[in-house]
Amino acid sequence: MATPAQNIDLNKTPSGSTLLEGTSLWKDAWQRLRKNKAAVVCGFIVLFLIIACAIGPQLLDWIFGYTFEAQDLEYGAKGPTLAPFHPFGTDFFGRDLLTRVLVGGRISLKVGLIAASVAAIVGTIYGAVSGFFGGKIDDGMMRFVDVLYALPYMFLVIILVTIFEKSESLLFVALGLVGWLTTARIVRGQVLSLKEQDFIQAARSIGARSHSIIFRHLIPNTLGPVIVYFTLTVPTMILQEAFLSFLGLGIQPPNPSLGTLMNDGANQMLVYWWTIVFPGIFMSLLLFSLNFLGDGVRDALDPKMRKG
Amino acid sequence: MNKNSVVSLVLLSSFLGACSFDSTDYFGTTVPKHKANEVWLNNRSEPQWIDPNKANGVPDGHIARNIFARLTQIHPITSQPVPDLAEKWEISEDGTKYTFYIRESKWSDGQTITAHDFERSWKRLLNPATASVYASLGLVVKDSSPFFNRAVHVKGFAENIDVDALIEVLKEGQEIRIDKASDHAGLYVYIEDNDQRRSFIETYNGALVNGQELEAAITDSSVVKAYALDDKRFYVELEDPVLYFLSLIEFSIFAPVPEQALVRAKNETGNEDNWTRPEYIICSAAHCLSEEKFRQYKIFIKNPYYWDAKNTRSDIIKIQMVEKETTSVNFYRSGEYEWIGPGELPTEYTDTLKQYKDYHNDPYLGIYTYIYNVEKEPFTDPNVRKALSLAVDRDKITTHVVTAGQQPASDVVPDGLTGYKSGERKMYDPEEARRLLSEAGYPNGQGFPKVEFKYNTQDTHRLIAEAVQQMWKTNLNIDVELTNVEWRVYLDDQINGNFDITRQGWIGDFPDPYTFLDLYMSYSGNNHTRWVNHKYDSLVQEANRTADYDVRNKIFSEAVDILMADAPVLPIYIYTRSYLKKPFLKGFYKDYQDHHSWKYMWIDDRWYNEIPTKEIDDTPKIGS
Amino acid sequence: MLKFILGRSFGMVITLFVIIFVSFFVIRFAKGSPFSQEREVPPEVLQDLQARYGFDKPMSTQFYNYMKNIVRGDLGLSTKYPQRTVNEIIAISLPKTMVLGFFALLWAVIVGVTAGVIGAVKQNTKWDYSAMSLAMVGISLPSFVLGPILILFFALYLLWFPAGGWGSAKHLVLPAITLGTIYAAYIARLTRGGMLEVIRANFIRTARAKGLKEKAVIWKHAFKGGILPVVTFLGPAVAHLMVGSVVVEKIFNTPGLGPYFVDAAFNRDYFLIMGIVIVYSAFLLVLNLLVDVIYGIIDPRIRYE
Repeated sequence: MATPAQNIDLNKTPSGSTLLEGTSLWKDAWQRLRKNKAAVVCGFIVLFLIIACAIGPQLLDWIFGYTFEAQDLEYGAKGPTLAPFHPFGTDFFGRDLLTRVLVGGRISLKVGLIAASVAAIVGTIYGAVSGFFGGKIDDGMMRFVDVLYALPYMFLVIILVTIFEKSESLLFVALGLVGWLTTARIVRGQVLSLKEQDFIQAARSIGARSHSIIFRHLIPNTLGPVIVYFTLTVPTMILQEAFLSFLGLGIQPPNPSLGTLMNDGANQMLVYWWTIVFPGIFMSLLLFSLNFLGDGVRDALDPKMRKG
Repeated sequence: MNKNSVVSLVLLSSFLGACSFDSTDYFGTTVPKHKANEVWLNNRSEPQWIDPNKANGVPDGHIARNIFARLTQIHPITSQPVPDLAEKWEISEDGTKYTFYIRESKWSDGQTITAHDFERSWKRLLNPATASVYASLGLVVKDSSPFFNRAVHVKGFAENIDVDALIEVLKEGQEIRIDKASDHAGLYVYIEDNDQRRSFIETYNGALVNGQELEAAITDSSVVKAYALDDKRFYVELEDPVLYFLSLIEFSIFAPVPEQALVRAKNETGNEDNWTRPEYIICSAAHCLSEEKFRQYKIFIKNPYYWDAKNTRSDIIKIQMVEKETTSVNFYRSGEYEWIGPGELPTEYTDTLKQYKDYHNDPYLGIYTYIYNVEKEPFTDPNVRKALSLAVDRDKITTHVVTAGQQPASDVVPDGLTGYKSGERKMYDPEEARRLLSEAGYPNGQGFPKVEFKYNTQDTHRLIAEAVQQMWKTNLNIDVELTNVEWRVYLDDQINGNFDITRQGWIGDFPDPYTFLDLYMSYSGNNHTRWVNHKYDSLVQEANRTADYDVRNKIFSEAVDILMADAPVLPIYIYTRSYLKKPFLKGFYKDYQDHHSWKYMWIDDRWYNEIPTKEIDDTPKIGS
Repeated sequence: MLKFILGRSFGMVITLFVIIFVSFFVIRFAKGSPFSQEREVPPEVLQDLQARYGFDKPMSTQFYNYMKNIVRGDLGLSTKYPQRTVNEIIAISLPKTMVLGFFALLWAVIVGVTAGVIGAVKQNTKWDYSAMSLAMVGISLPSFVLGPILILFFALYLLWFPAGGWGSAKHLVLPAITLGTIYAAYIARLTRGGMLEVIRANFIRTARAKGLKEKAVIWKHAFKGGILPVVTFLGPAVAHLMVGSVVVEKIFNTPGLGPYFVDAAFNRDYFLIMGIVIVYSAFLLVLNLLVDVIYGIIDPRIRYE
């Protein structure tokens, strides 16, 4: 099922006029973002988590010889210890949980970023085309979006997963599939107002082709809201992936993702509390900082909505 | 993240660590939440059918068995079939003819249960229009197969003619199966396709062939050799002397169904299937359905008309439908029911739950196997199959992954079944495995194609698969990809051979090696390995016709040797059933089929006040 | 207004038809049959099962028959629970889900709006930051983690509430909180954002200038305008809540409609999954229309074309 995030930020997108203020907009936004302490702190946390996910597993492999898949069945699930070095404990198979959380974070971040990108790209192009051509084409394309909106998301995903073989790329498709709808609506709204503006009329009058108007003039001018929505989609996608993995439709073992780790943890929390607590903290921290960062970006790009 | 949330998380984790489980001997509550004449149980899932003829699957059987009695019942202590609705029986010397004497017992509406009820119900079971999935178990009855398969019954010709010549004419040069009827002149023509069958009947009904005027029609139930001799005697003739017949007919599908309830439901709702709703249902066993809430609970009350009602210990049985494993453990712990229900405990919980006296562990008639698709490269090569099998450390799986006392298996038949002795085979030999693999052309796993292991989405399967995947990787240096598929896809892929390696659990239908060995017969619809060995087929068939247990088991062993030498299947372990049961629930006996009769169950009311120290007499009573 | 509603309703019927059409054929594409079993199902039995549900007829006939039945309000027979019609299953399950959804919504709106208003009124204070941080935690905590934690603490440790199931008001507390928390978090953020925007607007300044008390300004004027984004959000949110949550209802063993989204699809219970898709889609479409109508009532600036 779609989480609410996909339905909310419509009202908070910057108006077209803000975006047309010129190139200094990005500079201004950067200045504003830097002044937002919470966002900066969260940005650093995100950066730290990304770096940890990127190099952490290799480090652990070099120093301790841990990999995310090698099992030690005799050792089994044990709580956190420093010697042997298992600060997050080990899972049912005796695998180091820290390693698995970091690798899982890596996979989740990848899924989140790619799925959000798929959603952003597809949505932007779809929305721009729809808004630019208007009339019957617009009607038809938006009605299609309505249909997809009204379809139960789980149903779509299950059908996708059962028709095609399960794979990582399918997961991106399944996640991106619904994410693009909101982007498409936002961009269409922007384009509708943009295309009446003088510079578009000017481009038209000198005989620019449709696709060049769309890609050269319209899309670049809608990037602000798209970026805002993108940053807010990444954590949503990570959460969605976790949700799908919770139902066994996501990442396949032995590969961990935050979702599969949380699923295992939720099943085992009565007996091995650490299997839910550490992935839970890690995931919450990641989502928390990503969301705050996303808020910061939005406030920065849309001064009207700035806090205070 | 601010300081407060860090603090609260630390608190949470210490709380989780500290209070994970109670420190007493028992897991959760030890005082019943209800009156002493009630028993609360879990059924796990909402049943699909409680109509006994149609019941399939564990949640269905658990209910159907307890409200519809059969001719025999399994004694809870000796595990032998003993009389239930049949008072006694006579068996012919060759072991193929049974006469059951129906005892004086009544339906829950007060009508007498007669031999005619049995005849009607067995024929209903065998009627393909009933669409009972387990109906094929009834095919041991003589001449049931043409009725069940809607064969065309050709008759009307004189007994003294050349029947073989007639068969040749009917075949018209095509490959059609035609059997001669056993007792009177007649032929059964098996045609699967509806249209072809219809045109065959049109052609031959009333036609003059070889000077004989033929009658052709779809076989009706009158040919089936299971019928009432009178109100009290039910006669059954078998194709072969089936040694396990008295245990087989304890299966819920062989229960009689109340014609009067079916008719009423049909008249009042237009759908006969509604007869098992509380408004219409009529039962024949110790309890009967009185109230239900879809996917929540069902309440059963004592049936005073059951012949052995005086030995029914509890007046009310309430069963709940709690499906998710961890949720069911939570419910058990807070005292929502006394037994966690048929099925397994969450694998990861076993080690912890073992410490409590609620935890029980019974042997179970089932085997957990991995099967190879022998039609797919590289598993066409027996050496590859053997190499992979030898690289799996089954001891390690049963000591560290599934820890509920499962026995590592080197045979596809559980040891001790009707005196069968499981063969001793080398189960784990990585050296030999590597040798075999390089012999097959993949030294150190080099060049081994990418293969996939398929399992249905369930935690236990995943845990075992992850462990085995790692063993194959370490011992043979080959990568096997794990794919979990949902149940329906898993079944579809097995039927269509769309897998390289997959898991197959098999639960015996009756306590006999045949129920496990039938699985690898070349013609069996359940043989998903696609392995074909005619020597094996004929040995198993021969053994099944043998009336002497020792000889029979010897032949079975021979067949298993052939099977294991070719290794289309990798037996992993023999199942056990581990479960949680409240200490105050009595009359609950071990059963290798996980069948537990409600009629023996009762609540030890001493537990309302304190934890009693003395044991209490808990022997089951049947009859007088 | 009436014309607007009629026009939109017509569009909705078309949308619904497209959804039915697509779902009907797409679900049949999925691998697996509703009748397959771990044991081989004899071909004779399979034939009869398929005939019972009309699956032996050509797809076009099946769709025609299905549409005919839908118009008569008959959603067909379940394959998983063969004695029950889809209508009956939905009639049994949907009310429970709606009750749960209602309480989840109540929790979400009360907690969310309160937190949001506090955040806006006490902007940039400790109150604001903790309310918004909590909201962020709510958004970052998936229901399958929150649910088990609540069970562990309140049901198994403190024994205050049952671990799940259905029957009394007590049964509703934990699942409603689990289900409603993420919505509460979103509502809090939306309320705060909406109120902040309105508080800066001209008519509020006018109201203040007129000397109205701060409380009256906040509740009478700012609140009404600030709640608009929440209304937009509530439309689809109510639809989601009313048709249930797969995860929450599974964790708490709620006998509602939620688990069927997954289970019916997994069981290939064709008519049941179709019935659920139709109910869900209809809900969503109607609620979205309702939101637009309410929007018009709250905000007189909006005119219907």
